[in-house]
Amino acid sequence: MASKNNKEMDLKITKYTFMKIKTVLLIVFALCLSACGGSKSDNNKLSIDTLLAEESADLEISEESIAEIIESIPSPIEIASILEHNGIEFKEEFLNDLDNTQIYTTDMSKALGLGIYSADMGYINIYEKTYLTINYLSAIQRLADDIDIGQFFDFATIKRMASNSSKMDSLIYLTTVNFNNMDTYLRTKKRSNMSILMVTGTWLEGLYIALQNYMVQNNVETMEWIGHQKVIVDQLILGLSAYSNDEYFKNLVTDLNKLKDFYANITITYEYHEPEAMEVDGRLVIVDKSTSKSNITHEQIVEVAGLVKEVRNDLVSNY
Amino acid sequence: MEKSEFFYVFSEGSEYMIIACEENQGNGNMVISLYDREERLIATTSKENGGAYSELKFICSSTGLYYLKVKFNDSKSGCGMCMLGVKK
Repeated sequence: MASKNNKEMDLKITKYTFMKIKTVLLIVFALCLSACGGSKSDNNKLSIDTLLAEESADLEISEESIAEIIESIPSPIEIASILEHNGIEFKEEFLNDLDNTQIYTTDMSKALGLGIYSADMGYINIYEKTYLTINYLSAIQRLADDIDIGQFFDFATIKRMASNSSKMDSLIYLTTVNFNNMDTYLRTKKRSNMSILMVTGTWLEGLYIALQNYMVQNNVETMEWIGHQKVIVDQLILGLSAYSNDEYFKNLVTDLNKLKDFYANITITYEYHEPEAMEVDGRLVIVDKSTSKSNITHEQIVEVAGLVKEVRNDLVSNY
Repeated sequence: MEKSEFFYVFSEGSEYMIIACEENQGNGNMVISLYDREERLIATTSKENGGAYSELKFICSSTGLYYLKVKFNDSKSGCGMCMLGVKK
């Protein structure tokens, strides 16, 4: 049983896929270099900056760029962790209704629903509301099985851990690894469209929870976090646009473009200050001193809360 | 010397751990550099006297897009993996 100190010191590996993908990328990259005598293999690849600066509808986006976008979005656990850090309280009423699993009838809506419930699961686990874990786990299992990725979720072990509050760290770790294994599998099977839907669902649910909480608590840190989601909206739209010849994706991009239009009025001001660097126990520690502030106002938060609620309701109902 | 690049959205108030795991452990050839949204160097694991730190802890105070660039010193190529974690 982990002590509280140990628990706090535990490093939450929230991007297991990220690690694995990085492993693969680095190894492949290195092998390519050896084979090619050191020449770069991706000279023709458009950078994400370039892609973000262009009109996404006119661009062909590579699988690799989509993978990069998916990996760059914070995981469900990280989003929930940030919300907790910002002092947001747990509100069960903000979770997606479990009955909504019935209305996800296509693979695409199921992938999106899986992302939404993943965010809920992260929220539940970070706040240690284990009495909800089993029900949400069952919803996730149903959707995951339906799109043939249920085999990557160790439901039996997670259920066992959920019944033991001292196993929360392990529970969080295992659910994260399982989600990331699903994502990795989807991408290796060239089903990145499913992956990006999962990521979109997760992020949108995290934003929805943050906004609903802000409406109750008026927390300044949460307001800032919501303002900074501008960068994520742009990336998601870019990734989803790769599939916008499909009606489902097209509708989703249309919805997210409403958010993009809203965020166009939000300015992020970044001020660089030299970071502090030190060596602690043989490890390099960098304390960031820069600041990044958004000019989002309470009134704008109220506006975007309505917008996100509308989009989210579309997604969790009859999209 | 070659490099590879990734990006990630870091959040204010979060502590990130970036760990370099190179194929030949202990060589200290794998260098990770962290850049901000303006591609300004924030940190590098490269040591002044050669070698590199294998662990970089980044305490973030400004939410935004960051870039991680990985390269291998003293060799034309290398193998390794980069782990990213966030502290709860």
